[in-house]
Amino acid sequence: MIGNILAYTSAACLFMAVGGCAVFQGSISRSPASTQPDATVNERYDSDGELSSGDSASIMKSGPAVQALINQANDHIANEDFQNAAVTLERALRIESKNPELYSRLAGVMLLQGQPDEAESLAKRSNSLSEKRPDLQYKNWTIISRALRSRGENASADAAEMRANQLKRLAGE
Amino acid sequence: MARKKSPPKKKQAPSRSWGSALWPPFVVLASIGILLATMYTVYLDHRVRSQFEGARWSLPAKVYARPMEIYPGLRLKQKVLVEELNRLGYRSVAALSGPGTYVDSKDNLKVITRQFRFWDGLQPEKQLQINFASDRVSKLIDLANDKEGHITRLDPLLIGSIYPVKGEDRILLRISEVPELLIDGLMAVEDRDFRGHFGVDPKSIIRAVFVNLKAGRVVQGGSTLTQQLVKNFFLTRDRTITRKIKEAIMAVLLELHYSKDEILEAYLNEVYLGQDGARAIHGFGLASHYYFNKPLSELRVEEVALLVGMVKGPSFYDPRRRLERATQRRNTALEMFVNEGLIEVESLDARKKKSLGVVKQPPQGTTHFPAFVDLVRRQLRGHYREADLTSEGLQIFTTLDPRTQQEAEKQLKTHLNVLEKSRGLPSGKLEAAAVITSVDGGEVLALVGGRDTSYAGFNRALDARRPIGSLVKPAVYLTALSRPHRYSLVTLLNDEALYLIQPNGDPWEPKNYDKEYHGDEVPLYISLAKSYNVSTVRLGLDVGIPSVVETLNKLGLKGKPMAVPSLALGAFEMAPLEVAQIYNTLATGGYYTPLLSIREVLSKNSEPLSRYPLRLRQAYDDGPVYILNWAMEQVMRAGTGKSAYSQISKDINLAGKTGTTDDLRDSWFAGYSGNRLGVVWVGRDDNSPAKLSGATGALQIWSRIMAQLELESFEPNMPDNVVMIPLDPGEIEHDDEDCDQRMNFPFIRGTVDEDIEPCEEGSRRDSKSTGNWLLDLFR
Repeated sequence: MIGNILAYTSAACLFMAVGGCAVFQGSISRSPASTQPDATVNERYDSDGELSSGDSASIMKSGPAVQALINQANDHIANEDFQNAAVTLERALRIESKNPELYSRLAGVMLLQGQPDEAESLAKRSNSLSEKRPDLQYKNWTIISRALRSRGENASADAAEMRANQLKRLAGE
Repeated sequence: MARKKSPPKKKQAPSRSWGSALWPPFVVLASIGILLATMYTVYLDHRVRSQFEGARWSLPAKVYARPMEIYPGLRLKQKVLVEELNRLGYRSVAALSGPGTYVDSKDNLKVITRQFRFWDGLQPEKQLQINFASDRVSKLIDLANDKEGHITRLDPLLIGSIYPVKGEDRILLRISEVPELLIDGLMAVEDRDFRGHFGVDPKSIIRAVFVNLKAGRVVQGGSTLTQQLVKNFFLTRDRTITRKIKEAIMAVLLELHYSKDEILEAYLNEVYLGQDGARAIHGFGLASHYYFNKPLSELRVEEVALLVGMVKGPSFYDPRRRLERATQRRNTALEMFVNEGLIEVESLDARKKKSLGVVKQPPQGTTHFPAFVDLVRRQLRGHYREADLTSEGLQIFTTLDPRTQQEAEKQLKTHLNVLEKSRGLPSGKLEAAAVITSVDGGEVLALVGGRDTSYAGFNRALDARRPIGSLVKPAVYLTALSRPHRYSLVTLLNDEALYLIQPNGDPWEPKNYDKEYHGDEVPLYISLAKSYNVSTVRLGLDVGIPSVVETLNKLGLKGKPMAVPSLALGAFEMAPLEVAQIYNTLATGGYYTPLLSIREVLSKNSEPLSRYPLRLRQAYDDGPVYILNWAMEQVMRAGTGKSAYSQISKDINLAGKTGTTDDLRDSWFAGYSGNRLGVVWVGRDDNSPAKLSGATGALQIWSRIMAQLELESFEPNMPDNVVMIPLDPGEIEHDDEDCDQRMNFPFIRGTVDEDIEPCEEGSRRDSKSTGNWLLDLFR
């Protein structure tokens, strides 16, 4: 169970602004779960500097209103107020209803809320809108893989993780 | 009346002891009387306290529209914003003067928004300047600090209340929210010594008795505010002496237990101030909206005086029906305000000359949009008990977009009249229903239940279940296209005569709308664009009718229609909202999102209760849906839906489908742009022929509604497993010599020869200009 929460956290953390994530990580690292095997996975994603640069590049595509709401959502996440983070991202989605970034972030929040089914669906929806966006697709496949693993579908989760890693390399190029 | 007194008992018992002599009967009686009076007082005390402390009022649920979001880049005409502000009861002024006022200038608008508590917290009032350029918001400036803002939202429009059939309505106020002038003015007019007395005011009673005796009738009541509250709160309206005594006792008890402010707050919320049909208007909060369409905090001095004056007799001084009387009463109140030093005497004459400021049409108590609120109510069922909806003061935040709703109503009504006139149909017989959704997010933005939009009766959008005719065809073609090795857009279908024996033994010979057959080489996408029936039935039989039912279920149909051949032509019934659900899944590229009318429910104190979050799941492979959508765009560019482009800009890609049932009974249209989906049904309640096809009836209304909305072009993302192949549509084969003659057709990757360079990399929009040749080719 705690492992699951950690898994959600690590994946969802990919989507937070650096500050928001740091706050959230702080609270997680105090939990005993950080000593569990999953922690290595956690570190692997958290220490990824390339990703955050890819992240900011994609953020540029959102309009200022949506960007302001993303920042608000990140503040909510930093305060572990996932419900209001979701409310704020949905508000942003009403403004840019085809913005794959927003679906992806919302998928991350669903993972944090312990709703892997919703997370998976939203990540897939994000993928369907993120043609030529390997950076975003990488995040989505990471979320999908986490969601699958939390449901015990390990083989599918492995496949999704492989896909994520391929995309990560692609995004790095 | 003479009555013989019964002999005194003591004379009958002269031999009793001294003890009994010490208890003369009148003492016994008095003691019993005191005991009873005490018990009665204790009983009243209990009643006063339990009723006052419990839920004091049953509060109807408040239903709100979506709040308007304003941000730079938003497509919004200044005029549309002004309309929204007027709907919300904001006042156009020369200079900003408090929340709820705006200044409308050329290319910009200044406004002070009202504070409002949303699900995610309080949004304080803001002083903003909104600049416009080419029908967009170009800048949002916070005038408090001259900084540019990113986004803000207005307070949401209250669109109605859910309350029992006959009931009281009110907007609860805390005493801190009530303007001082109203409180002081109320005391000046009704109870000058409110702060000093103990529930009853002997001075004022004596004065009243004196005045009444002099007049020979009751002209003045000596009731304090506390007594009035007791009367309204606990007692009946009859004027008997026992009731008066009861009232006085309870008033004193109330004062013993509660502070003056608590009593005053209860009074301000309880006082009866008017009648709107079966709805009783209680409290100053609601009265302010009912008479002035704005919150109490925004009332001017004269408006406060009118409300305070009306306490004496809300129907006697009804400002809508008794203008003169009400004006006199207001002016009397204003004079009392001056006498108490609440306003300056210098302003009195000017104030007396002012008009009452009462809005002609009171904001509808139930709702302007009964069909939509009906949907809200149904979606709340199962989550909330009916009793809670009508008594707990819930705040329900819905997805209704007031402007979309008003346009949908207006276009539907206007064009039904036009249709009846231009086609020589009997007037007033046609009925219609419409649903508009947001596509992504599945929000119901507007719902029209019939041409009488104020009627809360038969809701056709939800309950008129009619055969859907050709609206079913996309499901037939999608079933085929999801077998890409067998079917593509250019697969040739057979549209020659077909004779069938139905499962029930009846023979069936499907016919085309034009009563002709079109040969055995009709490309699949042409068959859909032209809505050919015979080729569609053959296709449906080929893929299997049960598979078509399965597709419909995947797209969001809840029931299981009988899997008979005529299903391929829509010989089963659906309500407009159900159709919207299925088409919404197509519009999102295969993602099912349950259609919702509610976003959030908050308690009366604005605590979050429940939320209806965005839910979606992939219902269908995106490849086949993408290809189907391409064909449904051809319906609009060159097929049965093309007249939409006489209303809507050709730059906007649309996808959709007409539907017509036997003998022209039902006329349907369902279609979408990138951001709006609409379903329109036209027919007759008695199910006799409407004499309209989908194209001549529903489509005409659909296009006129859509033309009023801010549409985004339908530009679905091409899935990875789809490839565009240039074909000469005349030949339906590869031709890589001349791009002008070719058109990019989507195919599932791996099912066609992909060795041909697409004409325009990544583009599929060259289909825009295909209308003419398609028409020529398949006339």
